[in-house]
Amino acid sequence: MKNGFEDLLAGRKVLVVEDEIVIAMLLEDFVEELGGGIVGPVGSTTGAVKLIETEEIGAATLDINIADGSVYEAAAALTSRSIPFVFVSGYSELPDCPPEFRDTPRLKKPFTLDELAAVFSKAIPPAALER
Amino acid sequence: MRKGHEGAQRRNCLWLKLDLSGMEAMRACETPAMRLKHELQDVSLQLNEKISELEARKDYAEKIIDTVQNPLLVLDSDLVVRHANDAFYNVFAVKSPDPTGCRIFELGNGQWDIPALRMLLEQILPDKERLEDYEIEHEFPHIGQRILLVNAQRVDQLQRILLAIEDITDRRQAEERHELLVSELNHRVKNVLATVQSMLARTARGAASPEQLEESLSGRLRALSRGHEILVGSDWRILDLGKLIRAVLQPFDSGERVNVDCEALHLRPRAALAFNLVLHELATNAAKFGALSGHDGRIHIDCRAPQGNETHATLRWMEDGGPAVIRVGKKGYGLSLVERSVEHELFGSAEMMFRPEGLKCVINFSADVLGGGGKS
Repeated sequence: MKNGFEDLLAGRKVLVVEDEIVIAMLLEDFVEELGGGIVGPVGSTTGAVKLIETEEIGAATLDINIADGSVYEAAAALTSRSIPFVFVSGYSELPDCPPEFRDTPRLKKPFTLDELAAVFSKAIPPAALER
Repeated sequence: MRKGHEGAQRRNCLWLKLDLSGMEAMRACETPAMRLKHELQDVSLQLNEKISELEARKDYAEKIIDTVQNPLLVLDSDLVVRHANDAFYNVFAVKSPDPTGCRIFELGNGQWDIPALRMLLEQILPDKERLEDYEIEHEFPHIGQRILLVNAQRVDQLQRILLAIEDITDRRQAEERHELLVSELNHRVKNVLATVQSMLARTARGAASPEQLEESLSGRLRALSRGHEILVGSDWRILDLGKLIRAVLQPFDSGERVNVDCEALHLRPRAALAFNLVLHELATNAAKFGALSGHDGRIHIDCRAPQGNETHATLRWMEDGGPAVIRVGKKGYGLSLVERSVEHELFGSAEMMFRPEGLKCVINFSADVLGGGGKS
């Protein structure tokens, strides 16, 4: 790992929302390489919201295209708790993205560890990183 | 009598008229009153000829209009419908009373009182003689939401307006479907690439040599490819689990050592993809370390549909007759992929029992992943 991102997620439990397990496993590996722990993975919005309400979560990756409903509900739940998150998507444009999430950092599939680190460093406020 | 006489005389005179050299002779034989009368009769005759010619032309024009495949309306300057072609009646399901004679906005209980059409006819067209591809979207009472392209042409000499209307709803929907498919395909391809990337990373971690990496990875890629092929073959509809098991196991089973006993269970596409991978990993494991690695081992697979109020179906994978099973520390990528796929994508659990006679794997999976007819 280059670019000084080794501890980017240190001390954070990262919620992984992704309905394809093989891709979720890649996200898990990358998050762990960045020093984070894992919550989930979970493949549905309902499951994600439940975890957001009950678990201590320090950051999240949200796949845009999960099977049930809109992932933006989970995004809203994270926003109301000031938890930083990134979108992961195979789409070039985010379908039906509400205006409040248009500037949310996005990771396009397929992605590398460095790319994941780069979007997380955009999502996590710099003050939080200095701690 | 007199009339007949005059008629005969007039015919003579007409005949004479044609004969230019006889013109003077004709004029000479008429009184001024008779001459005026005859001239008036000539004009009237010519007018009648003109009228029937015009009527023939009008008829011709209407026939052209009726032949046009797109709906066409002829309006006068007060926007009263003067003619509507057959296509108009057919496409817009306009039935009697005949729409001609009322203003376009009153047609069919006001269903043509469309703001965009008012705008076109009352504001744009007075300043513009011709307008093409003016788009109007409207919900019609009988035919529902339609998208129309309107071409309008003013014919000022006749104080008429031609409105050609094309219903492009189906074309627009096809275009949208096409865009959606491209976007969906793009998304699927990106997901497959991310899947391959993940498999590569994990497979590389467990591989002892580049050759082993290549072998394991290409096996997994072939499985992914076959999964998609099977689904495309079934038109992305539900898939029979028994058929899927046989398709996955076939390349591993050289001597009919695999026995499949499966109740009719129909999987939804996502579940079929998950099972495809799960079965590939179990079969690969059997070929490398289990029942299919030697010559005498066998695999028995059976599946059971949910009974009564059960919310889970069951697949049992039982190996025997292979080399003695030795558990080596942590599970490898393959078997952990089995467990995690079942848990995450089939909403169930996979229990692995490393028995001396061979691996037994019991997969309970949610009835929710079954499609029509599979639960019975």
